[in-house]
Amino acid sequence: MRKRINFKNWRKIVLVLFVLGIAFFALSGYMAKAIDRVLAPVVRAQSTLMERLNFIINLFSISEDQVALVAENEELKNQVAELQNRIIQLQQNLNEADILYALLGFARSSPDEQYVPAKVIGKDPSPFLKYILIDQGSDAGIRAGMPVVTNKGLVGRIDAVTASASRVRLITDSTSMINAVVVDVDAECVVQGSITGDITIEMVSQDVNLEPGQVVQTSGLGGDYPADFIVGQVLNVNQINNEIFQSASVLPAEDFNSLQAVLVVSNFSPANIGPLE
Amino acid sequence: MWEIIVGLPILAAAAFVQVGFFGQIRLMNGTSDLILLCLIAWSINDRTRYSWILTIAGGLIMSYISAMPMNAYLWMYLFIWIMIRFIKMRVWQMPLVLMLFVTITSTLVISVGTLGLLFLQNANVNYFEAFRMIIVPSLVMNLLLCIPIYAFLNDVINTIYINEETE
Repeated sequence: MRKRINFKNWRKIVLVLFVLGIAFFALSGYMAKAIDRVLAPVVRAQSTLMERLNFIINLFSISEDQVALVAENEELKNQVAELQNRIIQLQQNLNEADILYALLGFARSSPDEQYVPAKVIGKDPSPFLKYILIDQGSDAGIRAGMPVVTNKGLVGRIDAVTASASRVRLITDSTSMINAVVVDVDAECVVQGSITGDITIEMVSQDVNLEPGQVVQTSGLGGDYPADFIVGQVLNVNQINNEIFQSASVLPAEDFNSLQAVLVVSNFSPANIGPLE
Repeated sequence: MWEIIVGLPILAAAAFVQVGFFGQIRLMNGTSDLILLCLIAWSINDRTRYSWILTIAGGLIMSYISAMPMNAYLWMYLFIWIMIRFIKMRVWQMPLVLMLFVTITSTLVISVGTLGLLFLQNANVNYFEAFRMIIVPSLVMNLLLCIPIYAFLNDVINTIYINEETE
């Protein structure tokens, strides 16, 4: 008995073989071009669709991102401001450290003297007076009459003292007079302040050859100031022939407008020459 | 009473700012006098009753801070207070113009007073230089500051007295 061929099975076999064939061609790369051609419009459509979709999604979600960005921006701004403040603070500390190192170096170079370091905390409110206020007083051993210096030179002397602060009369004050010596020519003179803060040397003998650049130091005469502290340099000589003395303007060694820290010479007591006067 | 309670800290703050900050800001050699301006603004206002107490307080603060001898600031401020009372009662009624006028007059009074004291101390004073380098610049700085200080203190005084009236 002959068996009849079942066409349904044949169809299945042909279908399977066809699919396997296509799969074989596809996997072996022979159909890549054909697949590309078929898929290209689909991919384009998909891409366009996704773009539109993303646009719509972004449209609704952008506000959240923006809020996050704004918050982040604000935080970063705060951080920048904080860092800038820190930089300014550090620069100030550095400036202070520079000044203190300079003062320390000066104090070490003259071990015979005892110094009390002090910060400048203010100026006399009157524009006619040249006084400064410092943050050390009698608690730190400061007494009236003690000289005040910096590493550059003489600043003044203590005028009044409270427990925690002192007032210093600068050498530029109009009532200040200091016995000094012009070092290069060994000529004695008097350093006098003025109402505008300029200082001059007075009562210099006409025989002395004063020249700009010569150094003026304290002489120690009178006992008000210790000797050998630099006051400044001769700037302009004022010599009039028929006068007894000549004078000269002096460039102070210290810039009194930017004074930040000073040293008080605490082991110097001014001599009391009152009974001899 | 509130006038004194509010006025004293303002004067103390003005002194603090004057010594620490405004003392450093110089026009040539001139500086402003913040306490003087505060006292003028306070004294000019019609509502104030205790401006003389604040004037004494301001004078004592300045005498304590400054190296000016004989408590000169106290006497000069009191003189200026009396002058303001006189001008306000008899001559001038417009507060802002009065503020400008009194600022000019007071700066000159304080400058002349200080120069007089320095003369007595045998200080090295060149009067022309003092006028050119200190008095005129100080006057300019005081005039620049007097209007904002007047406006600020006027508001403070008005607030104090409106509160007192409503109580």
